[in-house]
Amino acid sequence: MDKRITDFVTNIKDDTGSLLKNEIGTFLGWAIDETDLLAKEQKEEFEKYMLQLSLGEITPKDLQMYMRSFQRQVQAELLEAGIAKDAAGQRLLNGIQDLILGNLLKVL
Amino acid sequence: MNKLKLSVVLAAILTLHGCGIFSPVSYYDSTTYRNLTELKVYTSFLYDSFMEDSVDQKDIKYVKIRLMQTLEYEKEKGIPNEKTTKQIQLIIDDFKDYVANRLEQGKWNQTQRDNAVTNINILFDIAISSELKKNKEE
Repeated sequence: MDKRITDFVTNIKDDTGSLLKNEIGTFLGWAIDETDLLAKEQKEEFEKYMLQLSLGEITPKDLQMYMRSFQRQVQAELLEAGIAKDAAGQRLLNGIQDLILGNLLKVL
Repeated sequence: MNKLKLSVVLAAILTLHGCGIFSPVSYYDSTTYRNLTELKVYTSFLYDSFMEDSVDQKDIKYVKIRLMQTLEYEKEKGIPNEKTTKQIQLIIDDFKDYVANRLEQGKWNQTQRDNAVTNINILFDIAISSELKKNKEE
């Protein structure tokens, strides 16, 4: 992972006393099955956005919006496939939204 | 059942099938393909303009109307076309989200513009690819 992302996460002032930093660290270090292309793409995109956020190129609200786009893209893909494939991708997406964004936006 | 009755029943089934009543299939539609490819270009150009100081409400309204027209066109095809209708609804939801972001947060930088174009294009590409995969002969 890019050091600028880890530095950014480390420097977040989490006055709520939550374990947010640990959660993000664990999440970004989560091993993805290389054959699961959708989950792999989502993780790469999330890391790209985290880097952009750390560089001040996007805002926390932008990040939240991009996550909603992810969700729509997964929905569109699932409609196309006609089956509930990429369960891991869907879990990753839910993880990004529930675990990270809900808390991350409170402290940024 | 005698042969005459069987023939009448078969003829009725074939007629109804010809009318599409028994057919759950949505066929390729060149109008849908054209609408999607044109709108993909329009939205990209509109998002380019979001890097400027002011926003042209007429341009936003035009793209929004074209998207809604496309949605209505797809809805009219009924249940067999539900997948495409839902995919276009997702495009519209995404478009509205990004327009609201621009109006609320002010002009975009190059990164924000690139992210926006990439994300809406992914949705358009899924819908376009989906249309192209449909059976071309009715």
